[in-house]
This record gives sequence, structure tokens and C-alpha cells, in this order.
Amino acid sequence: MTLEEEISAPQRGRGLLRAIFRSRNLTIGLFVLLLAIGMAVVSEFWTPYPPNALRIRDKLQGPSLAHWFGTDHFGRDVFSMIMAGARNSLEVALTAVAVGIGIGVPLGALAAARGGWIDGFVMRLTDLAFAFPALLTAVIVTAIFGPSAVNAMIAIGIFNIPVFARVTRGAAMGLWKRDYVLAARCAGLGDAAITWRHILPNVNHVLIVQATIQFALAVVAEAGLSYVGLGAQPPQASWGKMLSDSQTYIYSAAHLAIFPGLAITITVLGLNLLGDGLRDLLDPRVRRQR
Amino acid sequence: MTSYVLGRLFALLLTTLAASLIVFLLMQILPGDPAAVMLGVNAQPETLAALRTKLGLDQPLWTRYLDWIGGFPFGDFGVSHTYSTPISQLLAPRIMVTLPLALLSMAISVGVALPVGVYAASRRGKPGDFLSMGAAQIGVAIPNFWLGLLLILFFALHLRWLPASGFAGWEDGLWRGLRSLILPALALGLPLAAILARVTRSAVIEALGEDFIRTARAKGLTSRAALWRHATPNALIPVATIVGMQFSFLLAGTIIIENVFNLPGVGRLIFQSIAQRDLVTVQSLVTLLAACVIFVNFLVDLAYGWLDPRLAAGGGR
Amino acid sequence: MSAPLLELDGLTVALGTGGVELLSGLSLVLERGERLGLVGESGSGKSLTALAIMGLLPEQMRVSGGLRFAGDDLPALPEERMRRLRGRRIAMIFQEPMTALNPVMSIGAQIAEGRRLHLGESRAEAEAVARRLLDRVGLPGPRFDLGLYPHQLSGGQRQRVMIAMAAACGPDLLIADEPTTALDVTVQAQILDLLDEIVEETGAALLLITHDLGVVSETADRIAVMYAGRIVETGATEEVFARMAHPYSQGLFAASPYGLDLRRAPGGPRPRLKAIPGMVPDPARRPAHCVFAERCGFVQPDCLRISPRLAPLDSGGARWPHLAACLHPRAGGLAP
Ligand SMILES: Nc1ncnc2c1ncn2[C@@H]1O[C@H](COP(=O)(O)OP(=O)(O)O)[C@@H](O)[C@H]1O
Ligand code: SF4
Ligand SMILES: [Mg+2]
Repeated sequence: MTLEEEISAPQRGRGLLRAIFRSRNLTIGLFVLLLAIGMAVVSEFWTPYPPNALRIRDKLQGPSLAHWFGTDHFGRDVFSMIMAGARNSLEVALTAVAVGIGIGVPLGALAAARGGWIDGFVMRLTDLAFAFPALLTAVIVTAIFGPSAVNAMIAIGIFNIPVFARVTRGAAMGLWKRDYVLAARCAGLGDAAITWRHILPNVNHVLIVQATIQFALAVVAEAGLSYVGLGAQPPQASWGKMLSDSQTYIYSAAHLAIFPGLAITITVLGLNLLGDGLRDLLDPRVRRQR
Repeated sequence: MTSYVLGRLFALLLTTLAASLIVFLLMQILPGDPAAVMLGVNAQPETLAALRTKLGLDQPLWTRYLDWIGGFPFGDFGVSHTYSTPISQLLAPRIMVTLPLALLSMAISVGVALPVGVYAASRRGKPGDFLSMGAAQIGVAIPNFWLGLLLILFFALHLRWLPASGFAGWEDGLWRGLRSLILPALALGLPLAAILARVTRSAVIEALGEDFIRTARAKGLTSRAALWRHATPNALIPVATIVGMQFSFLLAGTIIIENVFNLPGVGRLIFQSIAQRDLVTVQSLVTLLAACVIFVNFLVDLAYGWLDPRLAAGGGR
Repeated sequence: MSAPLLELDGLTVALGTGGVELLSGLSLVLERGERLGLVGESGSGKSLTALAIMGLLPEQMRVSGGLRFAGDDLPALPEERMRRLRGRRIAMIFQEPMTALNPVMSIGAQIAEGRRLHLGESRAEAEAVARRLLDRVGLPGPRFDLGLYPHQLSGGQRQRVMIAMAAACGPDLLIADEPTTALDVTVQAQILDLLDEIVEETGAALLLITHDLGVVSETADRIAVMYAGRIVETGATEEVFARMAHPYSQGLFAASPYGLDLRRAPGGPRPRLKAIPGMVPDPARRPAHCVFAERCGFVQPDCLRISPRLAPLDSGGARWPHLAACLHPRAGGLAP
């Protein structure tokens, strides 16, 4: 950092504060993500109670030492259900993002590499896709193929395709004009080889950041679909489903509405912080102006 | 200018048509014969065939498409299978719920985000900035349907200020109707406001670093006046883009929020139609929603010309 | 005798209290109607001097020493009073006409803004004045409508708008920071002429900042050469040009196309431009001895021990003394 740069940061002390704050994004984000993954993995082997065990006798209890987050209307342990719900959330979101990357990135790379009518076509297609609100697309898709966690993955994934196509195209466009790409082309490399060796490695960082953001959006979308009954089906535990069940007992058992919502919010918050932190880390251009 | 707007309108029409075609084709994949669904499992084959003819289901695909879309310019969106009512009649009262809800949410989003974003930018790096942006960070992460539940818990059940669910209708005066929309609008609008506040902040910070701010200060403007009169108008350009995108979020959000608050709106109608396999209704409503989104984006494009003279068509050099 | 219009008396600007000095002990006096040229390489502190006078230095910079305007101690002035001086009595023209105007505000509104603010004029009154100002700076209506936006004008035209803006409230002091640097050569002369006329008509004092010696020689009565945050030579323009007592002034001269043309023997070959070796030292790394010693062709052992102060030379005129901060000032003329 030259003196001039150092000085134009607002003020020494505050600069430090901001630096800590920035790296803190990464720290908190990673911590939350690992926590969620940890819960999901552990829930496969162990939960305090079996998440589906009905014990009507213990129904609608508030938080206690025996049941940290209380019990629901069937007497199921809310904490255990949240652990099991983590698996469902992460699984759906991960698949959805993978679908988006798997189809969107090649599409965007193709548009950038070929330009011309192919580019125009891909762009119009994404324009069109954006005319349908994401959640609406998901609602229609799940409606067509029937409500299930798998269909929720596909539905959310479909919306991710144009997002990744756009981002990839945008980042790759400029690279195609770079000298080293021209040089590679002179050396006889084809479009596919150049894309693989020179373009994709250089758009990686943008994709990672976008993937984090989309992952967060997918967690919310999954919860939303499950909330309206189009996502995970019983007996699979799901945060969104828990929230919709809670609504019936909102007068008597508010805790049922609190904990699943907290789980979603904290997970999404962590992922967003992770995205912000990664962007600061990977993209030096935005680091200055934020 | 006029030819520019006409050209854009034409492109808009084409996009809407393309969208309608996609929706139409998608609906054809939908499993389940709507006629069979309507008549139930024990229907006689003859009655089924008669109903299929009546619904036009035995026509070729493209005739059905043209028949369907051809009615749109005249406000004829087809007839709902389940209600046996023209869709336009189903729509009318529900739009009176969903449209005010959407507008109110948008107003909340913009009304909260602009002052907060500009404030945070002006206090960049100071406690006020961290506090408001921390709140925004959380706001972005809260799903609107959960926020809805929290609002119900607090304002409806605990404080008993506002109704927890349902819609009182507009017949008993503006306030009665509006009261039932306040919590849903907050649930929809606040998370959007959080996103918009972050965008506003960074746009204003960027504008504050521009040379013309120094010029304005050199003219004798207070830093406050330079912030509001010079930086903010420049920052509105990126903000408008996000506002346009948010409208699409918002329309989708109504589907869920109308469920949370049990509001008889368009979103719920779509949702119910899907559940009841009411093909034509879903098809028409989704197409209308897409048209809305496309139209709002068109309005945002027009607003650009107004916000940014550099983009104004016919501005001349 | 009334106080001078602008008086810098050991003006020092540092990063934070006791931090790195960006400007060190600047002293100069500017009277009404005078034109002072402030020259120096980029990075020597010219713009900071201007911003210090405007009271618009970045937050983290601290001002010490004397800085008075019409007797008022500017750094001690409450922000509200300082603000009322800005644009009203001290106006400034910036280097980059492309970015110094607000792109989403019409030029009419931008010119009128100052008058509405300081003189409380109505929109119509201020716009009538703006119209006259635009006519005056060579942008006549109806071709140059008040409703035009900056992007509809060329660089030179925008700089004319900047001049109209600066002149709007009839300031006593006009600071022009490299007003022609960003412009095409063909336009530069026109803008300088315009600036000259405006100053002439309004009787304002002009502080003209530039790195172009040709520009000062035409416009300024007096010149101050800046290097590494201090004034190293000052005096009447002809006297400074005739003697170039400070080796840095000589180097600046030898490095400018303007100086080159003056040195060229009639019909003779064009001599090569001689860039001064090295760069302006970073403010954090300025030596305690003569700041120019590392780049000076005439450096002596004592130059590495002592930091020379501005001292009068015998070549000084009656009105303005000729001063230089050099232990071994040149006798006269340019070194070959
Ligand atoms: N905002 C700032 N923060 C820290 N240092 C600065 C800042 N602006 C200018 N400087 C430093 O002050 C010195 C003088 O800058 P400036 O007045 O812009 O020079 P000039 O106008 O003569 O080219 C330079 O060394 C520069 O690095
Ligand atoms: S004091 Fe010495 S080193 Fe400094 S400018 Fe004069 S001759 Fe050069
Ligand atoms: Mg400068």
C-alpha cells in the first residue's frame, strides 16, 4: 500500500476497524457454514431424539433442559428436527447451485466465446427467464412435477441457470480480448481449449462469490417452497415446513415459530457474510470502494 | 423520443408473447387431464369427452394457444375450470388486494432504504454506518415469511395493534382495508429495503468520491447539501435498477405472504389454481405476472432517461 | 493600511497532528487585482495549497501556521462562515472539466446554484444572471441553452461553464488549478484569455496553478515555484525567468517546451528536452537538508547539512523581492 492509498482510507483507526470487520465477515461466515454442515452431518448418526418420534404426551412444550428448543404438536423434539432440517436445506441448496453452475456456466462461456447470434440468443433467453420471478418459476415447476425435495432442487436450480450464464458471460467477455488469449489462439488452441485453460480459471473468483450468494438464496427459496408445501414432504424434516406447521399453534406455542426461522436466518446471514468476505478477498477492485 | 418509446413498446410486446408461449407450453406438460380432475375419478368416458370438447381440449395445440392469447387484448383471459367463472372476474377483487400490497411494500422498501442508505454513506466508517449496515445485513437474511410470523407475534398477538390475518375489504373505508395490509407489506418490504439500503449506500459513497462533489463544496454548499443535492441524484441511477428487479421479487413474494396472512389476493389465487390443476387460470395469471414484470422494467428504463440525462433518448449532442 | 487579501504565513499542512508534512511553511501575499502563478512538478503540493485556502482539505489533514483572507484567520473560522466565503468571495476552477461538473444537473442550474445560495436570488433571477454569464464566457444562447447537460458540451466548453460558475458571485479571489491541463492545445490559449479577461473585468485576484511555464509567463505578474511542499523561488515573473536562481527552477525550465523554444538559437537545431532526473520525494521521505539536493546538479557538501530558507537575492525588484531557497543560487541565465 503506498502512502497515498493508506492516507486516503478514511482514518487510521477506522481503517483498522474496517479491516477487522472485513475479515470478520469471513470468519463468522465460515463458522456458520461449518456449524450448519456439522449439524447436517451429525444428524445422520445422532440427534438428541429421533426427529420423527411422535410423543403426543410431550406435545407443545416450551424450551427446557430436556428439549432445548421445545417440542412441536406431535411431541417431536424441535432441536432434533432443526438438525435434520439442516441436512435437507443444504442438500437442496447445494444441488440447486450445482444445477445452475452445470448448465449456466457452459452456456455463458459459449456466449462469450462465440458472440454473434449465439450470444444474442443466450442473452434473450436469460432476459426471458428473468421476466418470471424466481419463486414463481419454482412454484410452477414443483406444481408440474409434483411437490418433493428433488423437484424443489430442480426448480431452484432452473432459476440459477440464467444467473450463472450472465455472470460467466460478463466476466469472460473481457478476457477474450486479452493478449494471452489472442496468443493462445495464434498458437492454434480452439475455443473450447482456451475457455478451459484460460477463461474459466480467470472467472473462478466471480463464480465462487456468486455461488455463495445463490446458495444463500437457495436456502431461502427451499424454505419458502417447503413453507407453502411444495418442497420437502413428511417425514423429511424441513425448516420451512416447521414454520408453516407452527402457524397453527402461534397463539399457544410461539417457540415453534422462532427456532426454525432463526436457523434459516443465521444460515443465510452466515452465507451472505461469507460471500461478502470472499468478494473482498478475491476481487481487489471492490475492496477499495466498500 | 416517441419512436424510441414505440420501439421499446414493440420489443416489450414480443417479450410478453414469448413469455406467454413458454407458459402455455409448460402447462401442457402438467400431468393430469384437467377435465378428469374436474369430474373426479368416477367420471363416465362420455361425459369426459363432452367436457373436453367444451373446454376445447381436443383442439390442436396452436389453435388453443391462439384462442387463448387472442383474448388478452380484450381482457378475456379465459374461463376458470374450477370456478367456471371468467378469470377476469376472479382477478378483479384480488387485484384490489395484491396491487395495494405490492405498492405499499415498494413504498416501504424505497422509503426506508433511501434515507438509511444515504445516512450510512454520509457516516461511512463511523458507528452509525456499522449499526445501520449491520441491521441491513440481518434484514437481507430474514426470509419474508418468517418476518411475517414475527410481526404477527409481536404487533398482532402481543400488542394487538393490527389484525393477525385476513383482509377486511375496502368497503368499510380505506383505513380498515389498509390496516390488514400493513403487516404483510412490512414483511415483504423490509427485507427488500435492507438490500436496497446496501445498494444505496455504496452508490452514494461512489458518488461522494466524484470530482463534482468537490466543485459543489467549493461553491459553498454544506456537505449535507452536496450529499442530498449532488451525490444522491447521481446515486439514484443504480438504485433504480435494483428497484426494478425488486418488483419481480415482490410479485413472487405475494404468493407466500398472502399465504402467511391469509389474504385473498392474486398470489393465493395462483397457488390455489395450481393445487386444483386449474390449467387456464395458472397459465393466464402467470402470463399476466410476467407481463407486469416486463412492463415495470420498461418503466424503469424510461426512468433512467429521466434520472440520467446522458441516457435520455433524443438528448442530442 | 488594510489587511492583504490573501496572506500565507508559514502555512503548514500535515497528515494528522505532528504527522508527515505535505506542505511546509508556505509564505506569500496576494493583493486584489494581482495574478500569481504557482508552478511546480506534479506532486509538489500545488493543489493542496489551493484546497487549504478553500478549507476543503481531506478530513485527516491538519493546518498550522498563518492563513488569512482579508484579515480573517481561515483555519479558525467556523465552518458556517468559511462556507459563506466559498464560492462567494473565494472561487475555484478545477482541472478536470469532464468530471468536475455534475452530470445529472443542467449547466444553468449549476451556475445559478451559487447565486441562489449566497445572494438569496430566486431561481428566475439567478438563471437570468447565468444566461448573461454563459454569453460572457463565449457560450451564447440559444445554441448553448441553460438546460444543456455537461455531456452535451466539449471539454473546452465545459471549462467555460466552470469559469462562469466560479465568476458567478463576483469573487475577490479566483483559484484556477491547472485550468487548461486537460484541454486540447488549441483550446488552452482561448481559455487562458477568457480567464484573463474575467479577472480583468472583476478586479479579482488570481492564483493560477500550473506546471506549464508558458502559461504563467503569459498570465501572471508574479510567480512562486513550488517543490516538495515548499516555495523554493518567488519574485516578479520577468525577474524569475531572467535569472532562474534556484536549480529546480532551471530544471523545470529546461524540461518545458516553453523554455526550450526560448533557448533555441534562431535557425539553430532544436535542443533536447532535459527532464529533471529523479522524482519529487515522497512526503514521508523528505530529507532534513535541502529537499532538492538528491536531484540537484549543483549540490555542494553544505547542501546535505542545511535546509536553506527563502532568502532575498540582489536581483529583486522594487515591488516584489526576488527570493530563493538555495545555498548556491545561480547567477543568471540557464546552465547550458
Ligand atoms: N488525500 C491525500 N492524502 C494524502 N496525501 C495526499 C493527498 N492528496 C495529495 N497528497 C500528497 O500531497 C502531495 C502534494 O499533492 P498535490 O497538492 O496534489 O500536488 P500537485 O497539485 O502539485 O500535483 C503529494 O505528494 C501527494 O502524494
Ligand atoms: S541548496 Fe544546494 S542542493 Fe539545494 S538546490 Fe541549492 S545548490 Fe541544489
Ligand atoms: Mg494538482
